[in-house]
Amino acid sequence: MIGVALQAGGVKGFVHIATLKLFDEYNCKPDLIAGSSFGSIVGTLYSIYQDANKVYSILSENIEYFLKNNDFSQPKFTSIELVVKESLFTLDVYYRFFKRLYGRTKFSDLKIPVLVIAFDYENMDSFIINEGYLVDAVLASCTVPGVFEPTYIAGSKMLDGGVLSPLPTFELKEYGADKIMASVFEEFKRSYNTQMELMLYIDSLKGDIILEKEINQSDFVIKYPIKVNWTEFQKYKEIFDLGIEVAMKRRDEFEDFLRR
Amino acid sequence: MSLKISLGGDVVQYLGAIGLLKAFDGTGLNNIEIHCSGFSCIPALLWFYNKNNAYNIISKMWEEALKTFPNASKPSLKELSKSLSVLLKMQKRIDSASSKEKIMEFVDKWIPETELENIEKLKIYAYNLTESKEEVLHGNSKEAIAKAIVYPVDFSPIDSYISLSWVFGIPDGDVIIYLDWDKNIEPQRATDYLLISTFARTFELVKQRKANARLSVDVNIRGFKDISTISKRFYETGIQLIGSF
Repeated sequence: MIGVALQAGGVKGFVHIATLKLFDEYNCKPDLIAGSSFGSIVGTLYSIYQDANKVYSILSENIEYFLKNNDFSQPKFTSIELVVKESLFTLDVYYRFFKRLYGRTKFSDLKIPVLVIAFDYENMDSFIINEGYLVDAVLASCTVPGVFEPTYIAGSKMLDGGVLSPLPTFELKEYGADKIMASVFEEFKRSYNTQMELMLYIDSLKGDIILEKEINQSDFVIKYPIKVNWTEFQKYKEIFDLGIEVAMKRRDEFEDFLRR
Repeated sequence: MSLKISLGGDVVQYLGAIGLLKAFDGTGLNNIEIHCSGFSCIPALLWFYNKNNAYNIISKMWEEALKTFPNASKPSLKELSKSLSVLLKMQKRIDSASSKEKIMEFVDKWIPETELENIEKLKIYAYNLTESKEEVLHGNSKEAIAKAIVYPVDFSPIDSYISLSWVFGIPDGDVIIYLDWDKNIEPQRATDYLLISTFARTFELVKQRKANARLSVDVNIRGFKDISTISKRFYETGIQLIGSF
């Protein structure tokens, strides 16, 4: 059973469309997809449409719509709002984006099974969602801590799945995948000038350590060298183009992976 | 082969680990190595340097440690959340020189000067930010302790080192001794969610290290405010551990 794990990472996740396009090129489909945060958006949309080009077109249209109606500029993420508000974006704003994407589609409508990973902060553990409405599950998985207002799933408040499972390979194994392909981003050294930035840097180091263990569970990894911040959604097109370039260079290895 | 005892060190209360070492010593358990991080490096070094006056130094140091590391004396997410909010409001810039000066003032007063190579059974860990890896420190004891106890809410990295406890939580070991944190927090601000997620990662890494250890013990010191009761709690933990070996 072939499983595909799609890493959390905001706009960088546009490269996952390129990863899934490889399946289109070889006229085959994965048996199971798992994604955290933006990885869960791409994974569920691919499961609905089974066409990477269609996923790109729908997602880019919705991103344009979101950017037109919201301030998603970089200064907002270090603003004083972080210490006075519960989140930078309220649920109302955020929910509309997902509603446009999924309507009332359920997991049971999907053609390829998908595991959507969220972080259950009350139990301090990752939480797998694979039933119910996609809009609720994916929204929970994308709740970046402090940025978006958390929602409830199964009676627990949920945060972004990338907190503890940035690349859900362990979850794929748990659900029976025996050949795992991972779609990940190359990590670049970040800088810090304030104590707060240092704290965030240390947090990212911990995320990297967790990610490394997850990558080690994979049989085939495509690593995309993207030097952008997760919030830079206006760069989605160049990220996608880079993704296609990198993925297509790995076609032969992908074919070997399929044959193994 | 020595038994590796691993100690965390993200809060000042780990100075009480002196009690644990006394418990081991009292029962003649000698085939141990102490692998320490953060504040537990201080009692461990003092113990191996001169066990007869180690507790005295720790008890005299206690009040000053609380003042020097005000935010590292509260093993509670709720308390830490307040510190984080202040940090964000102040936009305090990285200042390694002044951090080093302040930490060295504390270290010069309380830490004996020796070469770590002389203390075979002690391994002091810190995290090297430039190399992105954990390291066992060598050389001068004062310099090593200064690097090992850098608590990032209060201090900037020293020569690019911070406390290992803030990344992995604890070094690897056969027996892991970890202070139980008060994780109860009702998030009200965006920073609270940031804090919860970063600590969830630390707890996950600690969990992984505990899973690799033969034995792990969480020491609960909630409500314990002075060094004598905290040390006693560590001592009792040590006695219980010896019973289970």
